[in-house]
Amino acid sequence: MTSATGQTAGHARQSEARVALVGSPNSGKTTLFNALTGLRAKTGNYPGVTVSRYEGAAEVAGRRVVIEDLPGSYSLDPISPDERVLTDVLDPLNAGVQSPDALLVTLDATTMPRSLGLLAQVMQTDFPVCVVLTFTDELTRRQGALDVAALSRAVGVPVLAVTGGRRSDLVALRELLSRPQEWARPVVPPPHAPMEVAAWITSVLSSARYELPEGDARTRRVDAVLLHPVWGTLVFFVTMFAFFQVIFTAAAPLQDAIGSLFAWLGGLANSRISNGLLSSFVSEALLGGVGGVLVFLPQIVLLFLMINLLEGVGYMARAAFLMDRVMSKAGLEGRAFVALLSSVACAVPGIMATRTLPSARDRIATMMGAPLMTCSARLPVYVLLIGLVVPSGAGWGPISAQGATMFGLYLVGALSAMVAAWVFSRLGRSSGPLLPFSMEIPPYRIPSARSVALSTLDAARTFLRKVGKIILVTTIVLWLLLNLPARSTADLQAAGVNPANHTAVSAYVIDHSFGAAVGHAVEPVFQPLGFDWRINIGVLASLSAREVFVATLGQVAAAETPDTPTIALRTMRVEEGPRAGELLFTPPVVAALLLFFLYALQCMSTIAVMRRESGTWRWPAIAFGYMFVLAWVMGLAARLVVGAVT
Amino acid sequence: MAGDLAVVPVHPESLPDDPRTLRWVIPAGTLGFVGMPVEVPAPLRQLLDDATLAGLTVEPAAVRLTLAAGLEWREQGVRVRDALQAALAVPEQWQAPDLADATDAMAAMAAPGDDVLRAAVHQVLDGEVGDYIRSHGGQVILLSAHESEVEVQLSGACRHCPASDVTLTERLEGGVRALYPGLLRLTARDEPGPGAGRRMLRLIPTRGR
Repeated sequence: MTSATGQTAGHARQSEARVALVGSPNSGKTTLFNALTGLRAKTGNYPGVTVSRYEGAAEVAGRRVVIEDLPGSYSLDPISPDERVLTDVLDPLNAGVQSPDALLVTLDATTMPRSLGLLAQVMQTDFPVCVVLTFTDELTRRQGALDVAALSRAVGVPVLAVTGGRRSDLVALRELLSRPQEWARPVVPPPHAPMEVAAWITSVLSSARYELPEGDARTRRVDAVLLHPVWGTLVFFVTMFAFFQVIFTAAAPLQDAIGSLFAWLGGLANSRISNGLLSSFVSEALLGGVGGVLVFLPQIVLLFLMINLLEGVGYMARAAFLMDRVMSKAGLEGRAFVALLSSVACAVPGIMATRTLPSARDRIATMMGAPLMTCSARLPVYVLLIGLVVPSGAGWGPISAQGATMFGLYLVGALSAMVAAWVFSRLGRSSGPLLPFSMEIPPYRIPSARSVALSTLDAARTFLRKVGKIILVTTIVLWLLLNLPARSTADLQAAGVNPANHTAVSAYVIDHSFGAAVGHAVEPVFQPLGFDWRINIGVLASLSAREVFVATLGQVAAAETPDTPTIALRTMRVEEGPRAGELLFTPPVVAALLLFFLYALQCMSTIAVMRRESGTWRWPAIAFGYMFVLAWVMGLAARLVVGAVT
Repeated sequence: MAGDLAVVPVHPESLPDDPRTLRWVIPAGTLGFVGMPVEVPAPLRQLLDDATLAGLTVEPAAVRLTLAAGLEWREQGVRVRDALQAALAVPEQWQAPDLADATDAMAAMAAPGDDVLRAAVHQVLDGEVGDYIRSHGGQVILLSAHESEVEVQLSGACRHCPASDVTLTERLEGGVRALYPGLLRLTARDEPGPGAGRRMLRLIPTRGR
């Protein structure tokens, strides 16, 4: 025993111990992690939420303990890259990763027979182990039973029940965490061979008086409908439809309020700041541009609130299950859909979630499709563009036409993502059989208000951080491009512009800026789609992040019509060429823009994560290329079709 | 389970005061006797012969194995477990201790299994259930354990406690049945006193099995 202790303690620093969390997917690992560290890793009632490694520090008895949240796994025999992370960390011979000093194993009390299999494997590793039983409240609610003390005696390691990260349950755990080297160790580790492990599990559970919980009656009744091939699918689409209705109806008033606030501030900046350049920077770049993106905060918050609710309740796992039937018919991995579904929030976690895919080919195929799922960055662009052509009052009864349009865009995005993933998996397929996909369907749980609120706040914070960093920087660069070269009074007079008329001056400066030159330069590419130089510069700028498109248009609008920037886009007219004088944002052009944004890969973060996950620039380049061509063709098609019907 | 290839479910539990001895929990009723067996199947016999094991006692639902001095469970555990599981797969090759020379009068007229039942009741009374009863100021004495029926006597605070019915049947009987699945009934009578009659405890069927 001494040798084992020496091995694991040898490389530990005296000051801080390192404890890793191990557990099956959806066993409450991340909830425990958050409760111990006060950090907010994202949790969901949805297997596979933790795909990368998280670390946080917990203060226990005056000592700092580093807690590491590892990806969930049902066993230590890895079949996918994320499970490999777990085995690497637990392998003391693997010098590439830092080994923990002890392991906390979370076991879902409602699924003990299966969970103990993982525990048996973990206990082979020679690390000090402590078991944290989760969902014991659910076990008793569903008429199950378990004697915690007897279980601890039977497995030979400390066992504690912690329900939903409740603070009162954590006191004892913190106490234990302060001295992992003193934890009871099993004198004889559990066996290896499957038959013997099964016998060990039976023996341990019978000793612990374990009574399997009855199937959750509520869950069963609800699932009879929700997992039904016809009703379930119908409910799924109705849910999603209602989802987008709410985004428009509930968030619109808030959005208007924030919009008016920024318009008012812009007016204030114009009248109070005497320095012309500074005033233009504040009112156009900051308030018109960055403020134009901030206006969409209510929608972003609402989107994440609803995603978190659906996930916490356990609905997302069912949606994945339903869609898996469809996808497996097409020969696609069920795990692929889980990754695609994660991309509704953002393609970056979606692409990282492809680590759960065992086959490298399917991973790449899913990565190629994931950016087509409508991510939250497209939301401001869609809301803005839809608002330009679909009146907010229009609709059928309680159904708003704006919400219906948005639903359609999400639907097309999702379908395109699946088709793209399918095509790419076909291209590389040698005809390997599909690996069986098993996904846990968790019982319905009422998500804790705290965890939903925290992850929603987190999403809002991420959005604000993005606005404060990449969007702000791009907007400032654009502002410079749009306001340089600076024009002297003589220049203006030579061009026949009255230097006293601010609006005319800024319109002139912008129209003859470096930015305009760039916008004009790419005109041949985008002319078939009906984009003018102002849209072009917005589209180019949005390559950094999609929201920048909104910021750019806001900036241009604020410069050209400072009095009414909110309705400026609607009245903006084409300045030159065959369509000169016509409204710029006609339904065909907006349709082309929407489809362009639906398909184009305009996100540096996605490209970077694709490069990292695929290990080569080849795949991001292919993705960018094919999506650009697709976006252009679809945009053109949309313009022609909408032009023909309107 | 006869003819079944399944491995007999066992797991070891350590004893706080005796690091050389492990209680290997086995399914109740596997062996049908308690005490030190006269003979054990070959795999275990070998470990006793080569002085790996220094002691072996059978309990109602466990086998206590004591390692010879100087040996570590960490090194010997897997070998011992394999031997024990092999031996438990052939329960008919275990030879129960000879009861003929027992001095106890009751043992002489005992039915097969009585000793297991008695040991089971004692184990329960010595364990958590007994602790619970004692913590409430009660006392339980085993009067008889014969032909799968148990009779106990309640005294102390149990005597007039209206909860003793439920407490005792559920706790005591559940505990004994876990160690001796063939238990037919458990009756309790109050401490003899004026007018104290015999009282039959309701048998609440335990859930499951």
